[in-house]
Amino acid sequence: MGEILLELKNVKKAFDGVGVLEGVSLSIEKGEFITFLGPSGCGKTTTLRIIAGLEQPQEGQVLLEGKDVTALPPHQRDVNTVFQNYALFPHMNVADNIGYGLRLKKTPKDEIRKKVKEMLELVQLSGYEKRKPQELSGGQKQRVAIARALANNPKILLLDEPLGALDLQLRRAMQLELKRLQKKLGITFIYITHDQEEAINMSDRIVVMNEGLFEQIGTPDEVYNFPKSSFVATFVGNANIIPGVVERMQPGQALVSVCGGKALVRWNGKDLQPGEPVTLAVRSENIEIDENCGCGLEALVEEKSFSGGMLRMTLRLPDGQQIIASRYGIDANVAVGQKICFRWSASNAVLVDRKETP
Amino acid sequence: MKKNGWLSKCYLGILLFLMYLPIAFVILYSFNDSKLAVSWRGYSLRWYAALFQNEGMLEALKNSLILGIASCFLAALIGTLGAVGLSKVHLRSKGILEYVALLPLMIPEIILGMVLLAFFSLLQLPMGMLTLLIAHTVFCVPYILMEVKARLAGMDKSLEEAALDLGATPVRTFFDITLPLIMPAVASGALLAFAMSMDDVVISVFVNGPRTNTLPIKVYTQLKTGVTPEINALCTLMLAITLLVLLIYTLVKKILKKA
Repeated sequence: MGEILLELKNVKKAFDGVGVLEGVSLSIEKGEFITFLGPSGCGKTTTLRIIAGLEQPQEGQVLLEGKDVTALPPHQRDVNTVFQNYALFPHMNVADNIGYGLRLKKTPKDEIRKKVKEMLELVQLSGYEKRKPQELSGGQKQRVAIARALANNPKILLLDEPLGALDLQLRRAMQLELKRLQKKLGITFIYITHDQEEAINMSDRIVVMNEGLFEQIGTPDEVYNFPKSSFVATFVGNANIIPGVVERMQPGQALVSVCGGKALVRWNGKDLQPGEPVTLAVRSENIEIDENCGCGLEALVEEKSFSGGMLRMTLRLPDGQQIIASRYGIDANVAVGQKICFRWSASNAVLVDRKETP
Repeated sequence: MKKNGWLSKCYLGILLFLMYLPIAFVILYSFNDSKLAVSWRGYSLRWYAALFQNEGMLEALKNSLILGIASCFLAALIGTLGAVGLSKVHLRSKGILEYVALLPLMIPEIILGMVLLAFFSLLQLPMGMLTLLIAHTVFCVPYILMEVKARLAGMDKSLEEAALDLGATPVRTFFDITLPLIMPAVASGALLAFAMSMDDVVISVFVNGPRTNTLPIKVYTQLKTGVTPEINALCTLMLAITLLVLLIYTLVKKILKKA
């Protein structure tokens, strides 16, 4: 590790005058599994297409192993793509699909056959050589598409929401398999998804994208526990975004007046000035509820819903603000309309949307 | 309801009967031994024999076949390249461009014929097979363009991108991926174009030379000098060929749907 394989330098792209990428920069190391995470329309597919060479940026550079490949057409780049809808050639069977890249390189037939067999073993589809793409299930098509892209021994494999069309169970299984493949082959994977779970499960690093910009680049832990912006906090961690004003500093934390009360927030940066407005992010599962209203901030329970083993409560504060709290299990102690108190521990609250880094 | 069904069936029956009666007569009388169209004198293939000995007729048939095949090949080439080109450009004038390309379908044939005649005289091209070929190609291109354009519109763009991504040059991508996938559309468009070329009279009349006749023109001029049973035999043969082409066209369409 440590060797830089791909670099994006201030890449900008607009379609018909509408900016899609507003200047993004990134270095990717050899053997990394990196995920572009963001809502649809944030520019993640465009970034991938620029790396593949299928799209030309208006500004900026793409460097592959230090060489400027910005103007290089896709067929001259050592980068292969797994397309969102698989894009298997319908008039070729599985073996011809996988061997297509090798045929273009004028590889001897025996070698192609061997490589195809090897690739099919790798994606656990041995014996499927003669099948047509139309005869395969979604998951199988996916595997063939991956095998086809890997058969060329690319320096980077680009995956554009490859699991988007699969059902949940298959998606989970394929996530593990992709991770296994990547570890085994040691190839750099650049993966696109809008599913934060997928991103956290698989990636070495996550690039959170929003409106054509990289909001935050970091390990899953960094992105989840130390979000830099309110967008990252809400998109990755479903956090509550709470405005507040600094009261005073304490070692390692700050006392902030929020929601008509006072609360602590973790802060290791340089001292904040009292009276300075700040934004807090607290994930819903870190909001502790006190039914007896001993201490903390007061609120009314507005709504309760149960999903995925979690009880979600919508709390309404006296000033109209809304806070989402969640916890495991069905909690019968709290009724809709009841007045309760809530709080959080300082280590579970983060300050976001700050210019300087803590 | 039931009575309605019976009535509509009856109506349809009469309609089909009236529509196809003349054709049935032509087929039947092509086998008539008599020289007179009014009387029936038993089966004979003598008019077919006469037809195949009629050198003027055979010459016209040969011309028509050469013309049909050559113009549909040329049109397939131009039309396919045109459709692929149109699918690749992103111009604001694309809509107009497509409209213009399909215009020969909408312009009345007689005007197209006159325009071509004027154009050829301007170029001082001698009227004959060459001018016929150019004229037929002109009105055949839109059929192929239309079919291929529709096929391309339904084609997944990422297939071509996948080929490029795997290392194929744009030219290689066209021959490996695009062409095989649009081939059924090219073929069905070409068959349609062939059929159109085979029975064109109006445009051909304007641009054929003094000594080159196509089959439809020959038939038309012969009719003026009186109907011989030979014409019946010819019509029957042409009908059979048309049905055959139509059958192939339908089959190709079916394959196209499956793929």
